[in-house]
Amino acid sequence: MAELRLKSLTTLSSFKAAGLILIIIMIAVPAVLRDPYLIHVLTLGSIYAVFAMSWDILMYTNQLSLGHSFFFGLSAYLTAVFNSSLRIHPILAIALAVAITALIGLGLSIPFFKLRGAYYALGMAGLAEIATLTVKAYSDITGGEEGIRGIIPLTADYLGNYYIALAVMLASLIFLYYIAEQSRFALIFRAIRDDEIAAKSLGIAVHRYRLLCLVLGAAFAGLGGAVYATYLTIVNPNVMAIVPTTALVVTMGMVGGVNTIIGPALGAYLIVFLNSFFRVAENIRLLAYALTATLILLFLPGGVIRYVMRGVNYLMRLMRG
Amino acid sequence: MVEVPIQVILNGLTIGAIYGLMAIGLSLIFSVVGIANSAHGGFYLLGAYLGYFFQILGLSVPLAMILAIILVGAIGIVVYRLTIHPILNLHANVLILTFLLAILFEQIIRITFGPDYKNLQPLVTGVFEGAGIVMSNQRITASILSVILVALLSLFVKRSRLGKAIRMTTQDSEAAQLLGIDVSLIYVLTFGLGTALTGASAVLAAPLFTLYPAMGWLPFILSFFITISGGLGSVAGALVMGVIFGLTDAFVSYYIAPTWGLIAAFLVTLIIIIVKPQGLLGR
Repeated sequence: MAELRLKSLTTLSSFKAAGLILIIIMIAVPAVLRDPYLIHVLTLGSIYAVFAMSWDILMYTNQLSLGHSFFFGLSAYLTAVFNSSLRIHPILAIALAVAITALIGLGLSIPFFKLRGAYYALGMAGLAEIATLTVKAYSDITGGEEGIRGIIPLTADYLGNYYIALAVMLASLIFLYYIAEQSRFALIFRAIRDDEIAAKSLGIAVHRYRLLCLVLGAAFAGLGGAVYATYLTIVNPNVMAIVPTTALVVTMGMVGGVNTIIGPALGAYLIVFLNSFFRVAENIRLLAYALTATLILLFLPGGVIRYVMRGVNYLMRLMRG
Repeated sequence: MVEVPIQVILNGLTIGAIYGLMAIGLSLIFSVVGIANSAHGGFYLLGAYLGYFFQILGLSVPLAMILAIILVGAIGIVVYRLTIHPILNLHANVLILTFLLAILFEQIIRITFGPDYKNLQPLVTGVFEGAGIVMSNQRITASILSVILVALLSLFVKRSRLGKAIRMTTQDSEAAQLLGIDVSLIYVLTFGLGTALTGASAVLAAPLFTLYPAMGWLPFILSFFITISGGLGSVAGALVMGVIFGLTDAFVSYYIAPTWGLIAAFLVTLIIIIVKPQGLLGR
């Protein structure tokens, strides 16, 4: 046991060091590379990273969702309506949208906690599909297929947007990672994930922790969606649709490695980066991601993060001598 | 004013029978193999586009249909053997894997045939008019064939030797194995049969709508809701829920607005699932 704790401590410290270096690099990137397009890609990466982590936190209590774009899209639309139609200040619009999305997540627990496993995952997919149909049908408010334009951005400066997205991403990462891996919930989540009935029999209020994860998942997906809407100043039904938005978040999670929080964030940056490099081959982009994710699922379960961590550990050992 | 509701009821009944057939493929695989096949919509898409492909090759409509159905079943078997079978016990992974497969199929179709709308030739052309009812012949034929196919499947599972083996495997796969039933083989065959039925529903239903790469998602979600609300593994439940779904869709479309038809139908199904989670005709 002591040995185990020691091992986890050493990997944690090397992880912390690697994380710190990465954060410094991320902050310094604009000073070194004055390329607006690259900065734009990184900004989008940060936003999707928040979304991908929010998907992952659900997995901590066995709540695989195949319709997570519902929360992302809902919040993006709420922000757009508050800001573009009702002329509410962007920051207040984001806060309201995230709060409402979290509340809806709370309310959805009533029907959805009757469902488990595949039923839950596909029920969520159904929700996203119905919501997308509704958004398309209710065009008075949502603009139908065209969506809503003219959202006022938080700042017009691309560097400002980069740092806002980065700050939101880091805050979400630290918060969600702490909740999922470092806090007293971490072991409880693991117990629930391994065997829900056994956890219940040990006196763990499984329902409460599932609820916590669902509300966190909804809120952070909402945060991602709201920042996405103000950054791109436009939303359309695609932000809520299973394809592409849920497809993207599942791919990011699988490529990065689920149940790690950091993995999906890494996956988000990777996929958004690939996205910009494959611009020439627009046609086969989504095919390439889905294929990559399928191969990773079949042959490298655990995702990229496992190999990244191994690499970091190896480097740390080399440096220590 | 009596004629209009009859038309609406018939609209709902015919589309409902087709919805029922759509759901059967998913329901069969779900109850026998025990996996939720998120690629269901992908197989639906493949069925429709393969039918289209054989039609533009110049084959006759019935031949194109039959070839498409067989091919979708064969693709189902190959895909199952290569990807799903090795990770069969990891339920969450199977769910994600089949979800990714659906995206792969969609992208392959989009790259091969292009993103624009296509039309599938119907089995029978023309429109039936009479007794105050207007309905395309394809719609009538498709719904009748759907009911016949569902009845045949039901008979096959109840009476044939293979059907009995499938039911045995569903009830207790370990006991089935002890009795000398090759459970792996039953799973492969059931997966192939399920995807072939999905293909059949596609070639029957697709001529009523248009073909485009993302066409599979709605039938998939619809099939899932119908399967669950009808009672998992219940063939009659799927058909009954399909009809309830179709009727709601038809009435709301007629009295309120076409765009709200499907949304209302989904809500009705959702309420049934919440009130009776084991399904309408589930045990």
